Amino acid sequence: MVSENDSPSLHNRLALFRTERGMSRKELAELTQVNPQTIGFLERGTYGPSLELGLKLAAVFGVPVETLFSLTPFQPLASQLRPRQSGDEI
Amino acid sequence: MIMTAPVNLRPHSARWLSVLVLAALAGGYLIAAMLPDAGPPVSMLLSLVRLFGLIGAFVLFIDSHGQQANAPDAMLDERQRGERDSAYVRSYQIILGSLFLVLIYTLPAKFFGWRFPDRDAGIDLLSAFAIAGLALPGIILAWRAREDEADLG
Repeated sequence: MVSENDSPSLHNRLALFRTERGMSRKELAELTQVNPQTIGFLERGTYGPSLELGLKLAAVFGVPVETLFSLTPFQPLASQLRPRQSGDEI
Repeated sequence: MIMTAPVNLRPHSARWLSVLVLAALAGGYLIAAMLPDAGPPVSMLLSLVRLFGLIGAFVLFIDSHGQQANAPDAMLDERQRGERDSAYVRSYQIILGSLFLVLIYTLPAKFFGWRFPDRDAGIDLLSAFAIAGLALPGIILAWRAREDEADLG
């Protein structure tokens, strides 16, 4: 469903951070006191969190909130790594 | 933040049941209101349809979607509260819109001598609206639920 708080302009790297830490949706949900389904909605970008929930999520991963959420799309990791690798070769 | 409900229907099951319940309520109560002089076989059939609608509406009410629709704020997270509130707004619009349609019908019906609900038919109509209103927020949540998220709580 499209939530009332649907926010197509808000992008996040929640799934990336969560899988990197080996965390399930349920575990993340327990840490932030939300329903596990809500984590799924957040990861798909079909729900825009409140400021409070955004800050809680950032605190779980120990990163600033703007590392996790952005109004502009995040660059894919591959494209971020590619210039650095080619630069190393030079 | 995971709610436990007496009945946990999957979204598609709740949707099917909701279609049957709304059809039963519309058929059982509205047809009964329009046919006050129906014979015993038809009355019996309509009573059974109404009973199915009532039981189905109760099942939808105690189902997890209905429970989310009626849960206090403390039981829900911010997304669920938003969904619940939105479902109640839509229910209000549907029920009020339907009541207004009935009201609009009664104005020319009285003037032109169209079929007009008597006391028993009026009670039937009120019952249909009350039962539909009971189940409607849960039904709306079931129609908006994602099938692949149903197991996550």
